[in-house]
Amino acid sequence: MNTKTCGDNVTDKELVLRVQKGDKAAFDLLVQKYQAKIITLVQRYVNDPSIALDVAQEAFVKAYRGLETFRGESAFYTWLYRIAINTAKNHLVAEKRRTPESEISAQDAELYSDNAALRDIGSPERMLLAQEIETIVLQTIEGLPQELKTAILLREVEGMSYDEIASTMACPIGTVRSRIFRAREVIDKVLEPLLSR
Amino acid sequence: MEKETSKQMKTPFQERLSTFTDDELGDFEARRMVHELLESPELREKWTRYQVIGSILRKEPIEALDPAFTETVMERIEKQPAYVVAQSQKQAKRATHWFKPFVGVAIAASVAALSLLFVSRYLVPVAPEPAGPSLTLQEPTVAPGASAESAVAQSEVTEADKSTEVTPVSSPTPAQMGTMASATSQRAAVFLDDTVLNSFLASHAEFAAHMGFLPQVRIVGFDSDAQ
Repeated sequence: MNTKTCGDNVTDKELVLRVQKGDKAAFDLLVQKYQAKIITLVQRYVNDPSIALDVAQEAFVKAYRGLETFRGESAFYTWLYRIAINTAKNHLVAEKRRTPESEISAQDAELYSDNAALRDIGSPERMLLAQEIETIVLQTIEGLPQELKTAILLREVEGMSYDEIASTMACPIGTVRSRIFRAREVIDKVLEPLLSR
Repeated sequence: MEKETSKQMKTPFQERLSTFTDDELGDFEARRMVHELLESPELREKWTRYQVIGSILRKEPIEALDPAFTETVMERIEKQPAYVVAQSQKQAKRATHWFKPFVGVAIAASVAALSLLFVSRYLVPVAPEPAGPSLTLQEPTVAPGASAESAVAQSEVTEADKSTEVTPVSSPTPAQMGTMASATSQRAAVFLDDTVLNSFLASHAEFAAHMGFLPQVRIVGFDSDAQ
């Protein structure tokens, strides 16, 4: 459906270049951009959500380390996707090896102690807030004018490009751009106070 | 493309952020937006919220919506050695790459020079024969102080009479080798004078030594004094 693959764009190239020059903040943006996709991907392999988060984070850390050698021959997301799959598979292999009686190694213990923030993500309060955010956002989308709702759903759910949406909705590409932006702005007004809690 | 870029320039900044989120912004504008995002925390927060909206609509896991995820990743990275250090080390490593070919050439030249010295040592003229050219084939011997691996095969075959027949001492089957030797010596008699042949054989020995074939080859010299 979407002819534009995520990752083969100038944004990723620019961010990767900045990271390679030592700009860690640029990597922060890459994590923000792809965290949801990578977590979803890892959860196909790892059932436990909190462990999946840990594995996804590990994948990002590995990607950061590996960016030194990344030459951009493939799209960044394709490369990251492979790292995430390998990290998840390696986790499964390690999990099989680990018997319930086995002691936690010093390295593992260090890893667990580092993940205070991870435990925080999985806390019941956070989960409750996330569910609340989801419900409110979906209600807001339901209340949007039809053309705004269609435009943003075609983009976010169907993954259509602006060109494709313009053809589907029989309107100029500028109108598509504007409708998607307006839809986001309406939702953002509701979302902002929720996320700053 | 230019038209598209100029249109984008006129659109409100927030709308361009939305377009950027969808990877639909032109190259120049996208680069500018990356710069803006890195400069402005407020803009970055807004961009994150746009991402969250997309995640909710795509029914991605709730856990993925938490900004603490990014913070944790960055914390874990902070504990890693600085990327710049690794990068600069790599650059330093790259800087040394340019002289590697020269080192290779220098080593090859040294080996060639040593081989030449080594070969010339074994190309000492044999006792002159009264008539006709002689073909010397040196049998392997271990050079004084040298290891067994660097032993040079050394044998000598002297053409005893004026005929062009050559009988190699070390040949396994004299009949076969005799034919080859005969042909070789005939060619030598016709096309090569002593100096050219010796030069050729010396070059061959250099190459053989360089390639590590030395123990398997026999050093052959064309005795110029024999005439």
